[in-house]
Amino acid sequence: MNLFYSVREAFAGFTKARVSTVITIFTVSFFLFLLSIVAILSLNMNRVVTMLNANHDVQVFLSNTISAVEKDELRAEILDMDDVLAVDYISKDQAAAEFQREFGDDIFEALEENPLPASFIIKLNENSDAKTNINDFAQKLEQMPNIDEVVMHQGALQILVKFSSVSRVVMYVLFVLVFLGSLFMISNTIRLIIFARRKIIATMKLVGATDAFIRRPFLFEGILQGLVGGSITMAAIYLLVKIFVLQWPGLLVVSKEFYLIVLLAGMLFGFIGSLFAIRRFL
Amino acid sequence: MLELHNVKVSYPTGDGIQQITFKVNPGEVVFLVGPSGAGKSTVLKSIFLEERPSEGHIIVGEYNSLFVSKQDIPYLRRKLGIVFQDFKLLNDRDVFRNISFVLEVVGVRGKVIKRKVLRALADVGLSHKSRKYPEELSGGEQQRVAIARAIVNEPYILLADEPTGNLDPDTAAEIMNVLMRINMRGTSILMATHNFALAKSYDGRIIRIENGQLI
Ligand SMILES: Nc1ncnc2c1ncn2[C@@H]1O[C@H](COP(=O)(O)OP(=O)(O)OP(=O)(O)O)[C@@H](O)[C@H]1O
Ligand SMILES: [Mg+2]
Repeated sequence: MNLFYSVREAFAGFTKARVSTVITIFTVSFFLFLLSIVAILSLNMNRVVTMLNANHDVQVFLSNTISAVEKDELRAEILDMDDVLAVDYISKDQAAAEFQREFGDDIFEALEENPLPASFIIKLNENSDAKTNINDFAQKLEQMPNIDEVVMHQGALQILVKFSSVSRVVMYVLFVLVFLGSLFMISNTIRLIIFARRKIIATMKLVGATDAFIRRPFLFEGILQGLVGGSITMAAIYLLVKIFVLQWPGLLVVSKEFYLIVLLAGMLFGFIGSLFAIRRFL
Repeated sequence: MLELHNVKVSYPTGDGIQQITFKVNPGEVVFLVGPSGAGKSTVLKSIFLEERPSEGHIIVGEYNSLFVSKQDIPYLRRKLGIVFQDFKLLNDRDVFRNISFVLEVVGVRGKVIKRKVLRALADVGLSHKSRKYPEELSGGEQQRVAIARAIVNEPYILLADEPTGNLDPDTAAEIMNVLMRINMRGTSILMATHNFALAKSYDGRIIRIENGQLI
């Protein structure tokens, strides 16, 4: 019955300090959201990196004057390099067809000849040296004859590779920040509510309420704020992941447990935040 | 049941009460009468330990003020029914919840709570206002809610601070009748008032206080 009373009071408090409660809930869910994104990226990093690598690692554009023999020689030479898994040839015509498929209308109609060069697409071994030292690898390619340009899809790739090692650190730092931020918001809201109700609290004490009895609804209120914040985060993450997966199938996997953890984290933040306020102000 | 022995309370301003010694026996009605500022409220506050005596001691049932720790105070207060001079109703909840609050505090079960609250409301003649909020009530009605809250836990003793203070004579008489009815059921009453005539017109012992001392 006591529990029932506390929960009822907590809900009543919710409707009383509406503005600060709403602000707190959204701040907490925003913080949790940031944290979740980092966590999801970090958890899916390997998958993302593999997917990006699988497409193609390095593309070299061939000079227009290259002969068929030279082309075959060059291909053999590249295949001979360490860590090279496969070299696929894309002819000028294939490149044009691809371009047309990507961009719709045939913009070459106006032009006399196809301006797109032929190219090789080079696939590298998983976890190869070449992959981590991709700049060295590119330099070697550039020194070869009949290669006009080396294009590495390494911008995003390298950032991701770096990120995957940094991301763990980022996640811990962010976790601490988010944790402290949520605590601050929740304990501040609870403090405001306690302050607004100080007369009522004083009266409650005069008619025989123990401190624990007076505190309990505020604890529940903090937990409730965290729970609602967590639920909002959960819904947002769910939608985002859904959209993302539609766009890039297989890139992200987010388990059910992850959502549960978000929810529990929200409640935990709420609990500790209100405990904080209560310890200091009640 | 209730005993004050040589009680002294001093405020930083120098005012207060001293050498207060008296007793309220089971079933008794005692009027604490004195002019404004005499120290009536202070005497009552010392009994429920809102103000701790700096000298002397107070016995409430099994509690002795000398040995009551801070954690014990809520439990001591539950033995008393207190009607405050300024009512002190919880203005964030309706009449029913104001009264049920003191039962929730002691952990009474829901069904019993309902029965007891309705009973207390009937005792003070306010059954029809149970869903009103304190600010929607007249002063006399608020006073009666305060009394209902004070008696719902069946206390040893009812402490009433100027319960007729701001009321017109008819309403004051009604409140007095409510208190006397409660007393008939065995609850002792200690009532502070500045109104000597009113105290004299009811059955009860009169103690007079002036300048913080009994006379
Ligand atoms: N919290 C306080 N701090 C300082 N002085 C106080 C405090 N409460 C009361 N006093 C002083 O103590 C004296 C007794 O006050 P008390 O409230 O007990 O009087 P009272 O007899 O209840 O008066 P009234 O009939 O006006 O309610 C007064 O002089 C008052 O100014
Ligand atoms: Mg007074």
